[in-house]
Amino acid sequence: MKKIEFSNVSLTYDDDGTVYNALNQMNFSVEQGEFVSIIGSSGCGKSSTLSILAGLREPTEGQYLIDGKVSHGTGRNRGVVFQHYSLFPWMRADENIAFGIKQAFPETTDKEAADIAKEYLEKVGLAGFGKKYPYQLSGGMQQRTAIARTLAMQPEILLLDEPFGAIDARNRILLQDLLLEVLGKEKEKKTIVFVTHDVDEAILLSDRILFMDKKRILEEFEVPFSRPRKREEIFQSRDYINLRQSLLSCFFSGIQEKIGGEEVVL
Amino acid sequence: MTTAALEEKKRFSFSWPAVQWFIPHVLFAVLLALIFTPGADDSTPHGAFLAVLGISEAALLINRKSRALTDIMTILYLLFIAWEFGTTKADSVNLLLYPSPAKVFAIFASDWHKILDGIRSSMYLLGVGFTLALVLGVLLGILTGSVARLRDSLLPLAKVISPIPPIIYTPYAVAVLPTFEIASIFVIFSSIFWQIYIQTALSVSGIDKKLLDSAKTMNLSAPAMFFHVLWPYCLPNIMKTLPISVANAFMVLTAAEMIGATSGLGYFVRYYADFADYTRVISGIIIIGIVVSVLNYGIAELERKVVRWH
Repeated sequence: MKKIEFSNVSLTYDDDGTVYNALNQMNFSVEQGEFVSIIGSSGCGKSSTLSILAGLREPTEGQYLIDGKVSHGTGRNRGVVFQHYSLFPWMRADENIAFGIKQAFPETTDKEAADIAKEYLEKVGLAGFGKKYPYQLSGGMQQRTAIARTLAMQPEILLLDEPFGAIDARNRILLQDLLLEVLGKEKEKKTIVFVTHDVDEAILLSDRILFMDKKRILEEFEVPFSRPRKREEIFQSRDYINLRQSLLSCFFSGIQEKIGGEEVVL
Repeated sequence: MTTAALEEKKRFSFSWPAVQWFIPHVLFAVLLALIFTPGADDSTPHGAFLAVLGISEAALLINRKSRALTDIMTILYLLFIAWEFGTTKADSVNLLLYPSPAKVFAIFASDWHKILDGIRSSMYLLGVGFTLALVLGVLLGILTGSVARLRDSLLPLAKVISPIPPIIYTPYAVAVLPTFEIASIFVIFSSIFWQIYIQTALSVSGIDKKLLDSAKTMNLSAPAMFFHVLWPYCLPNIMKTLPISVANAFMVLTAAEMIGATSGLGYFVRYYADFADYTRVISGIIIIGIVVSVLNYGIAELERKVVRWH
């Protein structure tokens, strides 16, 4: 059975009389344990797709299924990491994580939640930073904490909305590696939908890449690398160069159409 | 800058602090000399006044390095000297209307029981009214702020009602409500409630959408959403309005007490004003000043303790 299935999902919204079409008859599915990236230029509808999956928006038409059942609203089976650090500023890093744990597993005692929080902070390389408030942490550290909080809530489906979009290049690499490492260690393999506009990031992390444009999915690419993956090996392989080329040409054909079909010289 | 000018500047900035630390102690000595010089009011025991001065001087000696305290004491001693001189050494002053500092401070010693009762009574009314306003203001404010329909209907109404100074309807409330206690609690409540309610509603309606989305995707229960997200989100804004709210409430309370109470600090002042006992009136005013300052200090400390995430 498919873990996630989008069937003819459309999303329109009304902004003071102007009707926007955010998604147009979207169809795609994700297998259990699969890591799928949705890639596309800004405004293509990739974030709208994720917010529907997260349950923050309801499709105007069509429906989406999780584990074969029509899904509405938010749910404990899904965890989201946003681009903007979404920690609660009034809770320390460890409290943010423990709070998430207590919400997902109400029977957990405070002591247990604190212990698990500490464990997850170590996993994301923030041992010793638990007592800091978010404002005392750098952007990268806040995002690590947010990832730790989401993982600690143990969702079956992980939704990542450009989680490294606001992070500087060096920290982005560290965080990508962290994600590969942490997910590699998880006993039960999670189903992941990852939204990004970074081609390299998508290739490095995912099993399959969906290219979105004009409010729907236009192309699909299988990523041919086995796991565990090593950044250096992948970036030197022939497969990587070919895949990257096909993905980039998707982007460019979109750009060509937008500027009137003329040749794009880079 | 020439060497001479530099030298001058250096000397200036080096010689000034020494004098500065010295001034209040000289003024203290002048004040003592004035007190023990025979004058118009030698019958009043000076014990309480001297005790106040002794405590101030001791505080200054302990915090010798505090520039702010040094300046404050300089100003305070100057005021005391003016007061002492004006009332006891200048012949033309009517001691009934302008009591000497010794007389006023003696009241603290002789009437401490009444004063404490007054503080207790006022604090009780303030506490009840304040707690009610805080709890209801936050609850209704969060509800109003999170439901668009309530926000669009109730906030405009609140903005019309809230600017009416509660002092205006104090006499009516005292007349209509069954007991004075209920009337003054009501008046205190209305002087604080609107500010907290409007502030909370506005905070909640302006909450960062990303934070809200994040909270939603965490599937928070309604109580968790209320106590762990919305309430702490509003708390800093609410804390900012508290000093003004409490000052307003205290003003309204003392005004109410002057109308119909049989206890409290406002009552203390009005009661003795009726007997033209202006010594007690002034000591009552000083006590009210001290109480308000202590309250404000307490609120500032509370804010520092409670809001630690900025």
